[in-house]
Amino acid sequence: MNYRSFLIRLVTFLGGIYFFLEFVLPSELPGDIQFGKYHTEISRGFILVGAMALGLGIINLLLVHGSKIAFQKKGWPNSFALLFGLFLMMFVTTADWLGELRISRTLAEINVLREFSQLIRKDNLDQIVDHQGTAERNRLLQEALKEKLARITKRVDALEPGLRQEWERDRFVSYKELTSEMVQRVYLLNEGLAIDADMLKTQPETGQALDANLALEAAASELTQAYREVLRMNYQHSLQRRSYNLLFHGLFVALGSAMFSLLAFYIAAAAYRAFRVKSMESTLMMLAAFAVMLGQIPFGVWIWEGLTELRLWIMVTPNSAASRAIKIGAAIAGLVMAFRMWLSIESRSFAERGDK
Amino acid sequence: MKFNPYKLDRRIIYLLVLLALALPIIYQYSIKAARMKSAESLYEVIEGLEPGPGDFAFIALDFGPNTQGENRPQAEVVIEHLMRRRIPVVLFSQYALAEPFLNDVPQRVVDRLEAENPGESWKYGRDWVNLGFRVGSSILIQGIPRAPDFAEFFTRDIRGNVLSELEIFSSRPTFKNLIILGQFTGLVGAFDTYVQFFQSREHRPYFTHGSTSITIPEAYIYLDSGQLHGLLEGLAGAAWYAELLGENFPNRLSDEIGVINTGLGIAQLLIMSLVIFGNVMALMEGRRLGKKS
Repeated sequence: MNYRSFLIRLVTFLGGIYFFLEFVLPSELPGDIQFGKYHTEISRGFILVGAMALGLGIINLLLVHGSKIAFQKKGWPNSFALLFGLFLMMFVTTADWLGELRISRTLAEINVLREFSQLIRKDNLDQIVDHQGTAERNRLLQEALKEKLARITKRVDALEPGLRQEWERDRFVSYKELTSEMVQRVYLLNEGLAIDADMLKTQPETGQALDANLALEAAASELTQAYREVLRMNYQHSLQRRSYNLLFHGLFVALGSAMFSLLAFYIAAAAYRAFRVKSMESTLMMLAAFAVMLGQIPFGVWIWEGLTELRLWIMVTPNSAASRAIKIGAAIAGLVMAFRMWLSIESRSFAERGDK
Repeated sequence: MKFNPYKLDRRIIYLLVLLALALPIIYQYSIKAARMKSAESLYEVIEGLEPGPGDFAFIALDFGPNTQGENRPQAEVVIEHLMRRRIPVVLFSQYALAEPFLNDVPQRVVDRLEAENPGESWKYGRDWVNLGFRVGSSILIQGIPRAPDFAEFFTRDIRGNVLSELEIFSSRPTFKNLIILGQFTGLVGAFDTYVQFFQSREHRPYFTHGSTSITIPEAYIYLDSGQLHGLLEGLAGAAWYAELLGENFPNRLSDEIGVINTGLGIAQLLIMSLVIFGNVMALMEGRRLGKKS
């Protein structure tokens, strides 16, 4: 056994025993020992390893289908379609993610101002004197908020002419209400800040300075909310969001649903062609299936009101008994499999390949 | 094409299924859904919740486009009920393809509720939050009940907001504030992980689940044992839940669930008819061939 296979077996064994002990042992052991003290960190580590599997999957896809395309093997156009779809979706999703991230970062700028207002209050309460004074800091905060407010107002004004036609075409009637509400809120906020200016004239030692600070913090929160709505409204009509919606909702969701709905047609055809009552068991199965189906469809009660109760009895009693038996059998097999993996019996072929 | 009753062409069967499913939708024909006791239990659980400060519902949408026909209406009615009761909803998924539904489903519910109740609003960050798709599977599920601070554990939502700055998490809730779990999936075994690990020694939330028709038998094990407090069985469960919402909230705007459920019921009647018809035809053909020989 080389060092690599030994390392793999060791990590597998330790990982297995750790999660087993962490689950069964009490949270605190005698002698103030906390076995699961770093469980969150360890779990995050394992989650990271799991996330890496996604990357491995992509590499594998590239190797398998890339070689098919490179050597123009049979079915290479299908491989090309797969890789094209993969890269297109990756590109569009990344663009969409970056767009969302940009919004969050823009909003974070205002959040910094909110945090600053909290800091001013804290410094005031802690009587820290090594700063410009509460009133002056409040004034600076207000200036910064006004600057942000001017930017938002500009964005709102810029939104209207460009998006109005699109929204009206999409019959999104609430657009007008939304924008007017936004402007109203933003200007109300401006008035609020103007009133606060009077409070800012007060001395830093008085409670009024703190009240002004609280009003500014509330204004910052309101500003963040208003800005978030403006940015999102704008973003919904961006190219990256539209491309994402087209590919995912317009194409992928429709294709996925269509694939699954084909089952309905196959089941109906199979019901006619293959379901033959030839034995006692098949008769029993058909009767049970009919009772369950009639018990859950709206027309069942037209035939007999007791069908819902009969269905419930079938599901709770014979079905649960059979399902439990299957489940227990599968669990025992799973346990045996888990032991084999834990002791690295199952991965022997992998280790042997490493030895070569 | 010559019509042969003994060997019905599959294209005729496909056409019949298409008509059975499409006609109720085209004509908006809907009849009252069949009563589902498991859905009633779920309704009573949500109706009986008495949320305290910081309490919230945890909704796991572990489904993708393939089973959205069943899982999406289930999730919608449950989220609608929670939002009507003003219980904050935290959405999450272990299934990558569910990511768009984590936003669309609650947003659709919010739009419906705001249209129904002018003057009231349901806001992101206060009434609902989207944690997005998270990798980690069972390890992540095990980690949630052990995390001392829920907002600290997940850190940010899908939009990049710091969770502790959102109103839902302003009181820094723990796992004890998670009063109800709603998990919706068509994946076999996905709910088992929650049953096994989604609890701490001190707290176990109410467990509710929405399954597709295929996974109903598996879910009944937990319903029977009392580990599951409410279940929505396929579209039929969602349709009965919608009926209950309609009875208790008379102003509720009508939805498509009843119509689709009616279409599904007609399709199931068609399948039963085809089974009977197929067997009768096989019997008759057998006799006919027997006479010839």
